Amino acid sequence: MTGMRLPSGGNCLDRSRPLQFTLDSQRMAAFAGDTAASALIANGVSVVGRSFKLHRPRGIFAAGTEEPNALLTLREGGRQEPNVKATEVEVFDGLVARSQNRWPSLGLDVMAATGLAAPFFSAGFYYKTFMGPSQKAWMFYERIIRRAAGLGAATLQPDPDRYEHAWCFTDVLVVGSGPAGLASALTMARNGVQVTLVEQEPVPGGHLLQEPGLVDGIPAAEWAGQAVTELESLGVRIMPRTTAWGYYDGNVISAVERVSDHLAEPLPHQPRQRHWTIRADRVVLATGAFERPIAFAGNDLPGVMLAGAAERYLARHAVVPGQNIALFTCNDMAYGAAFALHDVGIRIAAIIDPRDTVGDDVATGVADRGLDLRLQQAVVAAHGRKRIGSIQTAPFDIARGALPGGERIAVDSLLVSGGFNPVIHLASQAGGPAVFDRALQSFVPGEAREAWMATGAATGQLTLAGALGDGARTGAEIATALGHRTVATAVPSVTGDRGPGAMPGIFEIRDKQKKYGKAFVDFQHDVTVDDIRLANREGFRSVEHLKRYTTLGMATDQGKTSNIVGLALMADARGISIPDAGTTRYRPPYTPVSIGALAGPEVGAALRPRRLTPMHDWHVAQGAEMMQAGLWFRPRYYPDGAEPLEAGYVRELSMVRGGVGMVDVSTLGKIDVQGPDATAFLERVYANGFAKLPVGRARYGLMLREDGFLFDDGTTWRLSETRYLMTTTTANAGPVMQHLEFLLAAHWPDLRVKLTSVTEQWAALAIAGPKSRDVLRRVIDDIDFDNTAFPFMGVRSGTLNGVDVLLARLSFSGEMAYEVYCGAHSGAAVWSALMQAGEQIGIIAYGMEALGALRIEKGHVAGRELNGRTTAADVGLGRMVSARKTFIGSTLAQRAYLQQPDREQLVGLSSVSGTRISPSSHLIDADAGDARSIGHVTAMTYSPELGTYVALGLLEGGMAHLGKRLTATDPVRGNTVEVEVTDPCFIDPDGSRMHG
Amino acid sequence: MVDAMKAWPMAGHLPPGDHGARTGKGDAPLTLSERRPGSIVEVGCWPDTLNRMQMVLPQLARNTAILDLAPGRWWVVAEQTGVARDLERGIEPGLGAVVDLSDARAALRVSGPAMPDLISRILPLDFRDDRLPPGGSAETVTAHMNVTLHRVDATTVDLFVFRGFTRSFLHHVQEAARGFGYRVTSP
Amino acid sequence: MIIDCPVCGPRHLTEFSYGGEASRTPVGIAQTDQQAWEGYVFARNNPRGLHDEHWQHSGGCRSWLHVRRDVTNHRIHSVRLMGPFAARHAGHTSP
Repeated sequence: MTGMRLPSGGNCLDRSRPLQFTLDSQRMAAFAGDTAASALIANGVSVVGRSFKLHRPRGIFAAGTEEPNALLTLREGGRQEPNVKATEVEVFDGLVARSQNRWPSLGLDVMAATGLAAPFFSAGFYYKTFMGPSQKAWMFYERIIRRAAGLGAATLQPDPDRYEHAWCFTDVLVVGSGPAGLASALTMARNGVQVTLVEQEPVPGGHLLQEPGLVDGIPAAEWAGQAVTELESLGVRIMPRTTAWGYYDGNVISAVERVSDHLAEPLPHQPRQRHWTIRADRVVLATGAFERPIAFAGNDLPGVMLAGAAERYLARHAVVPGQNIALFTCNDMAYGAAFALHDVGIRIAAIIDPRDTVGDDVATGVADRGLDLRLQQAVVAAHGRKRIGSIQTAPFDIARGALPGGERIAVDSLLVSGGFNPVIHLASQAGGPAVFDRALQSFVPGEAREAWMATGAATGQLTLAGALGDGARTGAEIATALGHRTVATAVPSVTGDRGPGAMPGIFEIRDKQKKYGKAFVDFQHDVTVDDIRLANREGFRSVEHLKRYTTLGMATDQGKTSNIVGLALMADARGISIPDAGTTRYRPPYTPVSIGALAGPEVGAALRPRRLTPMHDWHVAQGAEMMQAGLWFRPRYYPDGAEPLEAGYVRELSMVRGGVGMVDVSTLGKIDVQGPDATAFLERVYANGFAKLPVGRARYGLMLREDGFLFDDGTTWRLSETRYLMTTTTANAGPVMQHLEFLLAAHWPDLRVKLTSVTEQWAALAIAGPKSRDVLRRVIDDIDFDNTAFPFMGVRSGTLNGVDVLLARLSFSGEMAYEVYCGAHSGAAVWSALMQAGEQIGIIAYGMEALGALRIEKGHVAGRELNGRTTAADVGLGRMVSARKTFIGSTLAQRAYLQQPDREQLVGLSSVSGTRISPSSHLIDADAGDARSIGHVTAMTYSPELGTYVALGLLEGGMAHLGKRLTATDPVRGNTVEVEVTDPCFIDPDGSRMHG
Repeated sequence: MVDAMKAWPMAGHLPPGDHGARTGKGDAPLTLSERRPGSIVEVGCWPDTLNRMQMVLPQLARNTAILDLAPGRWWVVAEQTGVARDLERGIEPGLGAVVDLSDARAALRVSGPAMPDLISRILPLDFRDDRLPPGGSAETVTAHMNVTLHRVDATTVDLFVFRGFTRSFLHHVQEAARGFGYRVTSP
Repeated sequence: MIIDCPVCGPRHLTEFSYGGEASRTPVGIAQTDQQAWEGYVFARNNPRGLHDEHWQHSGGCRSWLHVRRDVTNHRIHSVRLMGPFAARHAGHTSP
C-alpha cells in the first residue's frame, strides 16, 4: 500500500480549493496549501526520482528544506526550473512537474543497470577511472558521465520574469518563526523593539504546527496564529516565503523572498522573486533542527521517511505515508509520529528502539495504545524493490551493535529518527567552530562573531517549553541590550509537552556480514557507509578530504541529512570522537539561490547603466553606428547609407582635413580645480610646468603615476588666477579624479584646493578643419576669432544664441580646431546650431574612428600608447617633462632602467606596398633573421593624404630604427605587411595648419 | 532664447499618467516627476574658513535648499537660475570654491506614502527613526549610478543623478515602482 | 563588510574603493631620493592581523578614509577621515 489523504484534518489545507497538477503528464489532485510532496504522497506516488549515480528509485524522505531525494523540474518554457525540492513547492492549479534523472520513465529506468555495476561506482570512482595519466581520458568520459549522472536541465529560453532587489534596515532580525522565533519576537515587540521576522515557509509557526501539546491552554498551531496576529499588530514585519541564505560581515544577511513561486506566473507588475539585503543591529537565529536519519541496508527505499516528516504531513496536510507503518527511533520525540498516526487509524506494525528504556510519558503512550514496542532491537535492513515491503530487525547492543537473530516484519512504510541536528548554517557562516553537544550527539552553534544569538532547537532546546522559554529569554536579553526598558513578559505555558529522552549516538546499524546490500549516508550523491570506510582506508580522512573524495554533502541539498552521519562514521572508522574528527564550516548559500534573484534588475539592457551625452539623440537620428566606451555611448561613424566602416571614416577624415567636421567630446573627463593653491597643486601633479600659464590660456598636461610611468594626458585651461578646468581622457576620468583626491587627502591636506567633477556639467564638441573658424564666426559674435586675438591654445568665453559657451583653441586632429563647451542642458541645441551654421560650407559630423585616424596621422598618443608601461620619453614627450621642479613621478621616472635605449618607444609605421596593416601586428626584423617580436602596432589607419596605411607602434629602440624596414605580422589573422619606420607625425610636422 | 535652447534630461522619457499596479484605492501611492531646478551649485571651503562659510552661505543662498554633503562641502539647490553667479560674487577665492552643477544632474522627485518603500528597493539607505530627517541628504549608489538624495519632507525625496545616466536611472526607478503603482506628473 | 564612514554612516563595501596599504608615510613632494620613493611606492608590510588601509567612499561622499581592519576576520577596528577635515571629524573607533 502507499500513501493517502485522510478525509479530514490538515491545518495548512484549504479543502474548499481543490487544485490539479501533473507529474510527468499524469494528473494529480491536490488542495490549496499542499506542497508537491504532500500531494504526491496523497496521490499514492512512491517513486519520485532516481538517484544521481546509481539510478536507484527514491521516494519522499523529508518534509522540508532538507529533502535529499524528491527533486523535480517545474514548469515549462522560459520558466522551466530544475532541481526544486518537492517538499518546498507550493502546488498551484495547472502546475507542470517532471521527475528527473530517469529514462525513459520513473518506473522503468534503463540507467538503473548501473546499479548492477555498482561496485565500480565507489568513492573516488571518477578520479581513479577517468583521470588516468592524461587529461584526455577525463575529457572523453566527462560528457558521457554528465549525461548519465544528471540532475534536471535548465531552460535555454530567456526567463520572462522580473527579479527585484531590496534593502531592509531593522533593529532585530529574527530568522525562523517556530516556537523560539515567535517567542523571541513577541518578547521584543512587546518591549518596543523594532523586529523583522523571516520564515522560509509560506505559513509561520514551524514546529508549532505539528506539536501535540497545548500552549497557554490552546493547541500549539492555534497559538502560533495568535502570536502572528499580535506581532503584526505590534508593527513587526513578517516575511513568509523568505529564506535567509547568507550571513556576511557586518551583520548583513542575504535573503530571498519567493514572491510568486507559488503562482503559475507573477501577478501583473510583481517580480518572481525579490532579493533582500538585510542590515540588522541584532539577529536571532531561531532556525530549528533537522531530524537525523540512521544508516542501514536499504534505508533509501521509497517508503522510508523521517518520523518528524510523517508527523508533519499528517498535521499540516492530513496525509499519511502508508497504512502499515513501523517506527525505528532512538529518541522519545519520534514516538509522537507513531502516536498521531495510530490515533487517526493507521496500523503501527512495530516500534523498534535500540535503547533499553524510554521515558514514562512515551511508555504510557505506547501502553495506552497497545503498540508493539521492541526495545534493544534495531532495523538492520529494509527490503523491497520499488518500495519498502518489509524490515529485518535484529537484537541490538549499544556496544556491540546488531546481533544475530531478529525477525522480518511486513510494512509499507518505515519512519526513522536517529536524533536531531541543530540548523547551525547561518551561525557557522558568522561564527566560530561549531561545538559538539554530547546529549544531542550533534553540533550546536559556536562563538558568535557577529551580533547574533541562537535560540531554541537551533541550540538543542528540543522541547516546546524549552524552545518557547529560550526564545523569550533571548528576546528579553536583546531588548535590554538595545536599551529598552524590559517588562517581564510571561513565558507561554505548555501542557502535554514531549522530550527527547536519552539520545545515544546511533548513526548506523552495521550489517557486518554484508547480507543486505547498500546503506546510504548521502542519498542525493549515493554515498554509502562503505564509501566512507573506503575513504578512510585510502587515507582521505580529514573532513575536507572525506567530502571531496566521496562527494558527501556536495549535492544540491549540501548534506543537510547526511553530514553528521558521515562525520560520525568517519570518526568511528578512525577510532576517534566526533568532535576530534571535526566539522566543516558552512558557507553561503544555505539553500540554492536563483541566478535571477542575485542579478535582480541588472539584466539585459539594464546590465550596466548607459551613459549618454547631451547630443546622443542627434547622433542616433543621423544613423550613427554607436559604440560603447566604458559606460558611455559614442558615435563610431555616420555611415552614408550602407557605407562600410573604413570607407566611412576615411570620408569623414578627408572632410575634416579639407573642410570642417564636428565631433562630440562630451565624454572627456572634466575637473574643476579651484582655490588659492590651485596652481601649486597643478605644479605637483603635472610633469610639465603650469606656474606661468596665463589666464585665458590652455596647456597640454602630462600626468605621471608615482612610479614614474605615464598616467594620463589632457588640456588644462586657466579660467582665473585661482581656477582651472582640467580635462582628462574619457577612460581615465574616474581614476584621475580618485588619484587627485587621494593626493589632497593623504599627501597635501594643507593645500587649499577644491576638486569637483564637472564632466556632466559641460557638453563638449570639437570643431576641426580649415573652415572651422568660419562656422564659429557665423553663430558667435562676441568672440574675436582673429588669429592673434584668439591664438592657438587660447581660451575665450562668449555666447551662442544666448547660451554661455567656453571655447578653447585646441587641436587633436592637427587642423585648425576649437573645443566648444556649454551647459549640458543646452548641448544638443548648440550642436544643432553649429551644424546648421556649417551646412552651407559642407560641415559633417565625425565619429570615434575618424577621431582616432586623425590623431594617428598626427602621432598624438592615446590609450593604446598610454598603456601603463610607457614613460614620457618612450612616447616622444620626454622634452615636456620639467627638470626645474619635483612632481608626482619625477623621482622614480629617473630610475636607470627607464632610461635604457632599447625600451619600446613610439614610432610611425608606413605600409610599403600600400596594403592594410593589422592593428594587432607584432613587429619583426626579418632582415636580421630574428623572428622575435621587437614591438607591436598600437593603432592603424588609412591615410588618404599619404595614400597608404600608416600606424603607430611601440618598438624596441624606437626612432633609432628610422627608415628601417620591418615586418608587421598578425599570425592570428594571417596578415603580414612590410612597413617602414617613420616619424610618428605623418601630417603637417611643423603644425602650420593648427596654428594658421 | 536661452530657455528654448535647454533640453531637460527627462523630457519625453517620463510620460505623465498612471503606471504599474493598480491599487484601486484613490490616489496613487507614489508620484514621480522631473524636478527642474534652475540652479545646483556645489560650494566648498577649508577648515579655517568653515566657520565663516557657515555664516555666509545661508545669507547668500536665500530661498534655496542647502544640502550638507560632507565636511566643507554643500549643495545649494534652487528654483531660480543664476545662483552660481551670485555665490561666486559673494564668496571670494580665499573663502571657498563655487562650482555650477546646474546642468550636471538630472533630478527626480518621488513623493507619496510609499516613498520609503520605493527607496528601499533602489537605495541602501536607512530610513529608520530620524536617521534621514526632512532637510537631510545622503549620497549613495544604485545599479552602478551615484545618487544624491535630498529628503524634502516626510513623504518626498529628490534624487539627483549624473545627467548622462538619466534614462537608465528612470528605467531602474520605474521598474522598482511598478509593483506599487505610480503616477507621473508634469514637472 | 560594512565600513562606518565618518561622514555618511555605515555603508556596504560595494560603495567603497580600496586604495592600498596605509601604514606608509607619504614622501614629501620635494624628496628626490629614489630609495625613499621606492619604499613608499613598492614596499608593503602585509601583516597578518591588524592592517591599515586606505578606502575611498567613492559611492558616497568621496572622502578618503584610513581604516584599520583585522585581515584575519574582517573586523574593522577604526575608521578615520583623511584630508583637511580629519582633525575636526574624528570618526569612529570601536574597541
